[in-house]
Amino acid sequence: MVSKQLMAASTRPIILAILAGGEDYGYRIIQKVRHVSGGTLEWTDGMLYPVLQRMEMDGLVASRWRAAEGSRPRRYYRLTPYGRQELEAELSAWRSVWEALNAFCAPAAVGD
Amino acid sequence: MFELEKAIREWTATLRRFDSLEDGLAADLESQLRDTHEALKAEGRTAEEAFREAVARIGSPEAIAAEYGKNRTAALDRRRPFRPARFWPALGASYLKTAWRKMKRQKGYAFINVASLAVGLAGALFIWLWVQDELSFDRFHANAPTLFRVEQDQIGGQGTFHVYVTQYPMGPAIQGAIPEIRRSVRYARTAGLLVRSGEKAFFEDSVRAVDPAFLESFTFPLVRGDRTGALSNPTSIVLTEEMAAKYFGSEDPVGKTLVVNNSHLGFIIMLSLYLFRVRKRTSRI
Repeated sequence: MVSKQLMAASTRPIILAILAGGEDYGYRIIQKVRHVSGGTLEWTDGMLYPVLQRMEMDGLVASRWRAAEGSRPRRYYRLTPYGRQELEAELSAWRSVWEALNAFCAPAAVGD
Repeated sequence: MFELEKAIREWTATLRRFDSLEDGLAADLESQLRDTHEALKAEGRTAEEAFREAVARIGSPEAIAAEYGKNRTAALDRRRPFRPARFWPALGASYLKTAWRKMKRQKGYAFINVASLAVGLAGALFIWLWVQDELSFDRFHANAPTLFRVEQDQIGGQGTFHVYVTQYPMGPAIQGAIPEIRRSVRYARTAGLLVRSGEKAFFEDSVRAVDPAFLESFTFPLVRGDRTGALSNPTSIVLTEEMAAKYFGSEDPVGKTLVVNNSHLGFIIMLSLYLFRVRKRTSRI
């Protein structure tokens, strides 16, 4: 179970990472998160959309309504160059957190 | 009987109750609802079950609306606070743009405004040109600022007429009475005169009779001759260059004679008419 704070902190980097793989719409983003995390990251579906709006306001993503062949129109989000830059920054930040955690935990595991 | 479209309509209607859930954002949520519903139905749920589950998964509209509301507040906070321009031309470009848009939208009013401004400007320009022209006369005389024309109001049965002629004795009279007047000169139109030099004779309309000191007050540039003495002799005259060439050709006109009104053709009639008009006209100074 992931805490509410960690969920809140990780939502934006995860969305950035998903959109780095290409243009996508809200429902698919939720599906991908659910699939990759095996259900440990459980988002309330509707809460994704205010986050996407805020990211668009911040210039991280851009959106447009588009109807893919044979389906109804959906709003597709894609990464802006600034969003890509921000993803790199987030990745290096998360890596350093992860490295710090590892550095503290690994010796203890050896000492047991 | 469950109707999906009706249920979705009712659900989006509940979304509209929230101020921050604008139509475009509600459309996002509706799209999410439809996708979830389709996926659940594909898993074998009934339409109604799938709908309820999808609505539940989307979460409370109130909480979503609250999140959108935070975004809106953030957008408002991010806006630059209003600051009146310190330097007014900074708004010039904006004023021009709004004026142009307004003119495109209200062509009738724009036409009336532009046309009347153009007419007004043209009128003002013509008035300015006219005044310039009026004020340009006789400015070249050396003592132009101290030259004044005596005019008078003639009061009679027909009313008052403002005229620029005065009686013949007025010149010496006011000069004697008012010490500030340094010099007075009179200027009178004569009738047309027949002027002859040898075989050349012309009827001249623009002959003027003036006091001897005229050229000292009005400093018309002289090509030949002496300014102070030019008119001191009653039989001396002043000619324009054009007239000198007309009567004397390339010869030096100084010392030459022009015969005025000495013709056997209609002599008597012309002389009498001349006298008549001279009597009448000499009242004009």
